[in-house]
Amino acid sequence: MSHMTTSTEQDKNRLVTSIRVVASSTAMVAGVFTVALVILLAAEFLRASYLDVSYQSQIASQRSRLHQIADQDEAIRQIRQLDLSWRRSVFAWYRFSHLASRTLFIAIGILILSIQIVDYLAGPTPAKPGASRPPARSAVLEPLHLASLVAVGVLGAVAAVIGLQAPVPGLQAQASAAQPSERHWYRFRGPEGAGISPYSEIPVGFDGPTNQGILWKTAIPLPGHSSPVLWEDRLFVTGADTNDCQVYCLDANNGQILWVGHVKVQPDRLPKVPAETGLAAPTMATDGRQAYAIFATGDLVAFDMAGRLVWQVSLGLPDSPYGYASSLEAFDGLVIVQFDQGQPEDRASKVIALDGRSGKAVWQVNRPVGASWTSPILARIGTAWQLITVANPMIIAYDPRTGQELWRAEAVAGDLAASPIAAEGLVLAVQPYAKLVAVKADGRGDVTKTHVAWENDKAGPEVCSPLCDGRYVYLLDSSGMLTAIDLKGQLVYQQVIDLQFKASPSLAGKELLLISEDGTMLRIAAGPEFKELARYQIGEECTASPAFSRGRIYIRGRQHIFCIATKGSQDQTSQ
Amino acid sequence: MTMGWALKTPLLSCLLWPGMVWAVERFPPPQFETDYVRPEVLLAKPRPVVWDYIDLAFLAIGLGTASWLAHRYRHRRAILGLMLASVLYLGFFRKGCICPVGAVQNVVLAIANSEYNLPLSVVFIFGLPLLFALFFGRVFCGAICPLGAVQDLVLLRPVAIPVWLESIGRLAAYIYLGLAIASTAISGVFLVCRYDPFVSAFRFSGNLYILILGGCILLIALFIGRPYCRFLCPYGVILRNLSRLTRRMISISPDKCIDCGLCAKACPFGAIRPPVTRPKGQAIATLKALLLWWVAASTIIMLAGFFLGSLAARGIARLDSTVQMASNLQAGSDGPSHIRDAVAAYLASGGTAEALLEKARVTLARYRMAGGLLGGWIGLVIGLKALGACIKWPQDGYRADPASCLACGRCFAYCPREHLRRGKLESHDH
Amino acid sequence: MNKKDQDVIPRRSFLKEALWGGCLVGLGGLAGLSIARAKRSGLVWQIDPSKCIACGRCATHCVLEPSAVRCVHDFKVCGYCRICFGFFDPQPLAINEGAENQLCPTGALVRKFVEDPYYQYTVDESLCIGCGRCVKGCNAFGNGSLKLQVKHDICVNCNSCSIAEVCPTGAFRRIPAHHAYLWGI
Repeated sequence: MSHMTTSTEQDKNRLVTSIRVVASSTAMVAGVFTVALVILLAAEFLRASYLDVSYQSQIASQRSRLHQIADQDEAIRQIRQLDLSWRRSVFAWYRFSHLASRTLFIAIGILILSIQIVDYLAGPTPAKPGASRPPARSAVLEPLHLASLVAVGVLGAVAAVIGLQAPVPGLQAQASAAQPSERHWYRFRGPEGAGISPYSEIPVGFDGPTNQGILWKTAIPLPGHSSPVLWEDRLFVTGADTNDCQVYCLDANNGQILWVGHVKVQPDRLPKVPAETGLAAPTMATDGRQAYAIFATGDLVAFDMAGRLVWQVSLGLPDSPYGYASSLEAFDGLVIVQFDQGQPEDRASKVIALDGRSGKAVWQVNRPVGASWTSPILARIGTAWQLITVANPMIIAYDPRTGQELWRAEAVAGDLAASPIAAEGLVLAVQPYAKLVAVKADGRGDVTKTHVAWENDKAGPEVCSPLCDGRYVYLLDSSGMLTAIDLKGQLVYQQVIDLQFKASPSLAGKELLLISEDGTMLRIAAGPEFKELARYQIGEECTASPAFSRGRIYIRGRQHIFCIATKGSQDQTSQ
Repeated sequence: MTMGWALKTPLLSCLLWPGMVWAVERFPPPQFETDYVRPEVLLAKPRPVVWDYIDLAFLAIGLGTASWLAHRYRHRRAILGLMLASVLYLGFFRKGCICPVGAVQNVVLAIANSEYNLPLSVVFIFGLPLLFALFFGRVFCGAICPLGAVQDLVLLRPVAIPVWLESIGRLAAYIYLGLAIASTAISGVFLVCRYDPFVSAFRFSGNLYILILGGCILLIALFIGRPYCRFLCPYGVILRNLSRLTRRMISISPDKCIDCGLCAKACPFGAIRPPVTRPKGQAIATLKALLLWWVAASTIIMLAGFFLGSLAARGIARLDSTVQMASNLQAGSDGPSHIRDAVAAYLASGGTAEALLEKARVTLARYRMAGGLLGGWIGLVIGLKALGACIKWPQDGYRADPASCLACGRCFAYCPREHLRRGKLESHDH
Repeated sequence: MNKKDQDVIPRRSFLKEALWGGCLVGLGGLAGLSIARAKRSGLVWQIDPSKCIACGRCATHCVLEPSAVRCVHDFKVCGYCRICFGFFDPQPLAINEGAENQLCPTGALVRKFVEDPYYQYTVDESLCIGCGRCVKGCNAFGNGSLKLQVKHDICVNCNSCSIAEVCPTGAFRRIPAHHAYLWGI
């Protein structure tokens, strides 16, 4: 009876077949359409994102340069054009994604519906011939199941133990950030203000004008004499003119300016400094969490690593004849300012320590000194830290945590600009045009008569700070005379170099690095004999002291910051 | 898709200027000479509350209908129709939020945090499917849940998964549930909502990575039926354990099973289990010994889990924003940008580092406790699964495991007894 | 089922019934506890202007495009200044509406002369993307009349707001739906 189909059944079969054909072709069309739409949507998304970033960065760079360039009309036209293009692309993307997502929904809906119709018309899937049904289970154990559970348990245990090795970063380590790591060039002349690079690899064979060995070179919009400071891959430097004081944060790997912090110059607090000196002579300090800067206007600011202004304090306009120039120190969450001004008898000079996070003064000490252009250093003498300052007429050391005065020695005079250094238990200070003084740092109270170890009057640089490699102290005059004195105060050699210097000398490995005002870097072997190893051209005038990281030197020239790198250090991020 | 991540340009910071960011009225109110009238600012109200109750009504009626369809009517087409209606209304119209899967977190937050005011409708959204599960099994999953519906609709050629793999996969859902409860109770973080793969489709817009995740899960769902439901859904964990106790189990056919096994092969979710023969004589003694071993082993596993869980908690604690902020404070400038900004904002508003570190330590301690409990709980689950692998209740005929059966209704059409009952086949035993 | 099972089954079914009853009671208890703490009205997300620092994440992290957060102008507080710090760049080249002088990237803030020396600033919501640059400027140098708020005709009220997850100051919070805006306060 079943082999004869009636005509109604035939009609029904034909109907079913035609529906099935329609449904399956709809499914295929919908499927292809869906795939195409997804690809189109993805492509448009990528294009719109790329355009968005591209336009925005162009607009940003154009706007930041707008005030400096001459042809403003052209720049305005460009900005407006870019702005229009950006707006067009953004709103076009919104409209497209809105439309496309709803179309996709409909297409997928049709796809699923047609597939389901085909599936329904095809009926239940027949059982595969010969395939057996899942066998009956016995009541005893399934070894594979058990084994897999054990395996998972063991894996979980291993994962938990590995989790032990990677604790929440920072929270477990109770080690306080008492002293910024000795390997970060976090302040003027690096750790302890000694000018000694923690890394001995020096890039050799670079040439600025031909761009050889220069990893990157970035223009700094406003000028200044401040040296760059560095924390891992963040480089900070200041620049200023009479309108605006700026703090720049650069990416140390590619020189890109990440952010610019502004400190407006108040007209009533504009110090009278020669234009050549500028307001941005003091070098910044950073403790890795924040970057601190001070300008000759007396404005002290703290920015966090993302460029947000955390606090700003005005210390008052410093009464400093050539323009305030002392660099900052950072210690144990404090930022320390040597704020010297006026004459010693004015008693207007002070050292202030502010809490890095809030900007509130933690301690403040008045000192009987006049205006100075030296920077304080933080040196480890014995087991304790000392904050050592040099001004006219005293060398004074304080406890950096409390501001308590440890010792003082009345041993210098004049307009002091070279910062002190500490080496082998001695504090070495320079009196310009006069002498190098060595004071034993383990005294208490007034040690003028008891702890001055020796003085050597063969040299007296007026700008460059001294350098000690553990055996000899090197002094560099601005006229180019390099003097080496041993730690007993005996002259070792004097050599005139045919260049002018403002930047302080640095030590990397066993070599002295000197940078002249016209942008020549010299490598000189450290030792009892003068031996010049090489000279390189930076290609620009330079008065600031360099910063160091592994295999790199960062030099601030008159208009640019240069990063000089060895071949191998191109890919370095942090140390 | 959002391209929000592309809009994070340095433009903002270039325009950074110092000064206060809180609002202060610096300029006096203007005195207008002309008859200028300030424009009215009309702000749209949110959705009226009545919609919450309409949704609840839909849920309740839908659950009732689904129960009737699964237990009485027993036709896949009808369940499919209800599933479609549900995905269109609860999914695309209501944008899939708040759903019972997420409501777990709302309830946990309400219990853990006295400041959070739980809306009344959410209690019912959470509780109704569970109530129905106690009476009728996982009818919510089969016909109502929009997330499940999306996966069910794309299922093409289901591939059978071996039992042990399925069991391990389900463990992931237990862990996810535990993590979700812990992170909600301690940090107020809604993990399940954050990583919901399908809700972006309902909104037609969302985070790129979540959309990609959803797409990948849907691609898997083409061949492995309902992967999110079976292996990830935290609400499913609660549903399956309540469904084990259900009053009415879903039966493939009310008549006696003839052991043909067609239904088991038809079920895309591996929910239909073959019969289990009764153990005899010698086997019973073995089973009793196994039971004793199991008690001992499970205790050890649970203790180990407790210990290991509290160790692993340090990794889990990184979900918490306070912990992230404290670690950023101590460690320097790494971390996501919003954490760095949060730390700066916290400090700028007068917060102290010590207070933040203390809060983070307290949170870390809480996570250790939570991690330990989670570890112990997972140990217990592993122990119970091991027990299930060793000892099974006797079962005659092929039956749908109420814990795994999602009440999708596919099996009815494959059972010959069912066909017979519906008059589609001629009976041979008259 | 044979007679042997009759002994086993009652014990098993008793356990099952007991567990079932326990779960029912537990569920009821949980529901009761939640209801006791529950409030009648629903909750919606909103920005607290006193905490908002206009960091810009409202524009980038919303699941919708453009964001459900828009700038709202409180005219009662506005100073109607000629040089509006929410409208103009801090160092504008000229006081005109050129793109190089405006803060708003989409030109959603519309400047209209009212009378000397007052100008009216309105927000064109179809253009506003909720980036908050105008809000930041107005807060820093103006009266603070521009605020970022979540628009509830656009917001889909996610259970876990993606912006709230990243708001640095925690300005994003859930508030009862019957008082859905936090401005003008």
